[in-house]
Amino acid sequence: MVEINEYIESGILEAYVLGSASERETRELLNLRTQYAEVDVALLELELDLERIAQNMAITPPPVTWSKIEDSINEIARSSSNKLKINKPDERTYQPDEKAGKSQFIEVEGASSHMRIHKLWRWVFAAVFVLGKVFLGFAIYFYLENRQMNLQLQELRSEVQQIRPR
Amino acid sequence: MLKTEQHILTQTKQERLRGIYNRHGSKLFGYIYEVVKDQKIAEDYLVKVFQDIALQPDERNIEAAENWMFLQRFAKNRLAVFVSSMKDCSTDDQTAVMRYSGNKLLSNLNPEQQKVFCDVYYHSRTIQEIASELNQTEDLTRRTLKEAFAIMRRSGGN
Repeated sequence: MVEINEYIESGILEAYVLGSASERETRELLNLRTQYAEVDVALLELELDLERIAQNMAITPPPVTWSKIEDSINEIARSSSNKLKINKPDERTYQPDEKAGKSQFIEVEGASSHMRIHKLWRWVFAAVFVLGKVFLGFAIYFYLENRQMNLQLQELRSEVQQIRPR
Repeated sequence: MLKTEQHILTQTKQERLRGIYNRHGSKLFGYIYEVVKDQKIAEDYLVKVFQDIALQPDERNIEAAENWMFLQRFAKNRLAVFVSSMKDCSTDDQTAVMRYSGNKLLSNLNPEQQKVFCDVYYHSRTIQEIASELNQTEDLTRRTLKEAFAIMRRSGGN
């Protein structure tokens, strides 16, 4: 018991919690932790203290940080799924069952109702929107011009009818 | 089917990471900022630490990151190259320790305790390295670390 107390007081626990214990010390400590409740309790306390010390220095990250993390994780997921496709092209390839097979497709329902597209598409959408407005402008212009011309034509017709000798 | 499984897996991992971020994000950002002293660089490192966790093939490592002690180790590993380019904490030259002057708790320690705590906490140096630099036994260095830690926890309002 005295030896265990000495061990706890030696500073090895602090070194472990702060990540500076050697491999041998770590192995020994983890072994003793399972054997002695005192070691386990002391370690848990130190872990909480370490967290409290960090809490004293905490700074709230900028609001956009999480979305940056999320984007990077999605990027990793995308690249790892591409790797899967490259490395194991045949494992999941659908083999049509000739006996059963009317359908050539497997129905898969996506878990998300959203879809992701390349950022380039926003310029395409913007161009389509602007072109749409331009064509609408032309359509209105030609419609009004056409209407004006029709009115003029009608006036000319009536003038011609009036001038024509009876 | 593969894509759906992958999607669910990513979502679960993301939710887990979000939980870690909510619980420890500000502590981690504060710790990284103390080391790098630049908000932009600290943010980049914070993102990289979470990338490192997300890349862990073993789910148990992600589970471990929910514990602050292990999460801080992820950060220390990521900061290792940056820290190696910095001056070690010295008892004679206090510039490295003064770098962490934002940490009011450090000012409660004597120069030797500051050096040992600063070297271990920010520079991830081993007890063996510090002991040989200070020309003292590892036991003595560990005791100094223990005293420093005890003062820090008392000053921290425990």
